Amino acid sequence: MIDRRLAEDVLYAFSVEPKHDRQTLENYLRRYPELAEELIDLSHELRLVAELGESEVPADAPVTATAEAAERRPERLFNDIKGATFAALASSLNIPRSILVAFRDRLVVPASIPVRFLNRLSNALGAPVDAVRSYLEQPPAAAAALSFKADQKPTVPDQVTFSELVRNTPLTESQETELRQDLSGDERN
Amino acid sequence: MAEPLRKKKLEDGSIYQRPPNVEAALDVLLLLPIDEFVQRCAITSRGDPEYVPSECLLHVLRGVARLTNGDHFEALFGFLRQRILKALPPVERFAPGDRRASESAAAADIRDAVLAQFDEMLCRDRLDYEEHLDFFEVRFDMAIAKARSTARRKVKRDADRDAPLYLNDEPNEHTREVEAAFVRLQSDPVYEFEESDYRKRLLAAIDLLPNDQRRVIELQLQDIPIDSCDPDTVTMVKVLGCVEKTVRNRRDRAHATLRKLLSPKGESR
Repeated sequence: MIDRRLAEDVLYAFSVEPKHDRQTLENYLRRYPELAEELIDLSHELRLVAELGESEVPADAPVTATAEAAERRPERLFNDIKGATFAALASSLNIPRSILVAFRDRLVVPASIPVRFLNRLSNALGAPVDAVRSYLEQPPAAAAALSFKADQKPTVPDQVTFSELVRNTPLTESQETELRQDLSGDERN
Repeated sequence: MAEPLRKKKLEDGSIYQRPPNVEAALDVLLLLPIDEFVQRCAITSRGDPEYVPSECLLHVLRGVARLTNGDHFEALFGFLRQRILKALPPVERFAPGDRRASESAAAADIRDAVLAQFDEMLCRDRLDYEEHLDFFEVRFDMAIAKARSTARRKVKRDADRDAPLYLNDEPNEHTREVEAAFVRLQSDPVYEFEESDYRKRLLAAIDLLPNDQRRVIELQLQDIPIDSCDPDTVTMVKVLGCVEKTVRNRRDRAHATLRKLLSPKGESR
């Protein structure tokens, strides 16, 4: 089995070749027979790009950039961050997903959040620090899906401080080191 | 001069280079005040002399993203997403009439998956260095084709996509028209306007084929033989790992389907 990272390298390398003719395809098929299907699929995609031209994107098309959404409407900061993107964001911050969920749902006392962590979050979200801060300062969110399913109005959970959250979440060694650094840079906790 | 890329080539370990036109454009663009650069990124027409190539837009965005005080990041990020959306081929526009709605739905899913992939790469690039983004600084649109190809494998298309489209076809009934169109698609890059529209519809129809049939067609368009006595020749039988008869059946079924999809009756416009 070819390693996935190498497979990605091969497919990207094929995509940026100056020509996508028979010779180029044959070279790749000879060298990477395990990737034959993916290379042929990609060859078809490259043909579509070369022949069908561009999609029309109206100038005022809603650009679902997280950053833009954050700038205009802080309450939407996490709207486009779901699934794999959510997991990638958590791993780029080196925190468990459960901690990111707590931030998304505003379950952390805003004043207890270390500045270093706030900066890291703002960088990873691609949103200004002020936008992140104003998002986190809004009231905690009850999960939207629950409000449709529950018999009674869902209650909004209590907020916890940043250090409580870190203390009560199982962490890997490197996550713990990272979060301790966030905490030590700030005296408020 | 722009900071060199870092991604090494698989075959010889040398570093990828941006094409000379991208480097030349960067040499000029990197001297501009950032406000002016951002303004120029709003230009969408490639023919405009002030148009910023997507490769250059991405290069500057990666730099801005790493700054702690990344002013202009939001604007550049928005423009980049527009470029990504634009680079995706408008397959649904050329799909046969009765397949256009389902294709639009599939296209929307693929679009979201491509944007999500790109977000992940940018996230990683801000914190470390995501070498795969280097490919987008070499040939942006083609690297997007790779991202689309990956997204497409992940996104579940219509349930009926993997089923044969027309069960009643006799496999060997492919007509001269489709055959002739193939020959033109393979050999003739110059065509009249009307021809070009037919060609696009043919490609969109190929895109609708089930995976195993589409692969045979792509290899046929690349002029790769079905089989050969020469053990060194790349053949469909070898790369697809099936016997000659299976390859021929797939090809014939694909041609029959394409003929239906492209016939005026098959298209309820």
